[in-house]
Amino acid sequence: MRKVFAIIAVLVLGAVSVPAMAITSEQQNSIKENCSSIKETLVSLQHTDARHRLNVGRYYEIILNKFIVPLNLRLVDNNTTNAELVANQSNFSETRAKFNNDYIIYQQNLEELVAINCEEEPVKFYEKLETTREKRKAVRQDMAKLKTLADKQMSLVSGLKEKTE
Amino acid sequence: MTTGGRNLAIMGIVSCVIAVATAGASLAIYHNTGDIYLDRSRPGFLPDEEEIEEEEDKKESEEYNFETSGKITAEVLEEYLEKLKAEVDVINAYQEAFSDSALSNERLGI
Repeated sequence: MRKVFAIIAVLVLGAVSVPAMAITSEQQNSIKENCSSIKETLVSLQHTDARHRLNVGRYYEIILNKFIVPLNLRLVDNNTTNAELVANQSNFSETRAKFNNDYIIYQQNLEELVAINCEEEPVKFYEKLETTREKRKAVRQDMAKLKTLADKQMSLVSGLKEKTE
Repeated sequence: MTTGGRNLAIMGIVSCVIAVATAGASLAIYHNTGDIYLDRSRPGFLPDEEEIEEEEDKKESEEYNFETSGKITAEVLEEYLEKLKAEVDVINAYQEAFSDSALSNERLGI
């Protein structure tokens, strides 16, 4: 009976386990040989990302708190509301929060990637690199969405301006 | 050792334990909340001279504040759009900031 359970457990684990990333032996050797320069590039990237994150984050905050929110408040002050502008404010705020969280997750992964000894564990390093790329992509997608929402804000206000004229 | 001396030693040890515990908790919170990734006062993350000059220039320039009360006219919205466009142009310039290429195999030499 124990044998049966053991066999079933092995089969189940084998079915659900994620196959190792396909990394060629050439890539493994490249990682081992260039480990120090790869690490330097990644550390430099951490610095660059931090600068970009702070700069762009500041502008997201300005757009939300100095433009989007005050306009909706002023519309309320004028006893009028615009459902699309309110929805845009909500979407922008949510997406900005998601961007903040996704950036933290990405940086945590990047930090873990830098910590791996790529000379001794090139396969593990490459797997983590793939994961980090996905997290970075999520950050980029959030930025693209925020750009779309900012453009939408301009479009909606242009429409409001035409109605006011 | 006198009673007073012993009590003083105990107080010293307890103070050290509390200090280490609170410092450890602060560092854990600092790391886990992600604030560490936004902290540019860390060695190696300090802004360079160009950035500091840009920051000072930005502070010196007039800051736009859209009032939350008052009549909404076409002129008001025209100015609003003009100022908003300036901010949107900046974030557009950052669209490639987190591009794929930075972690590509070619860039890393893999």
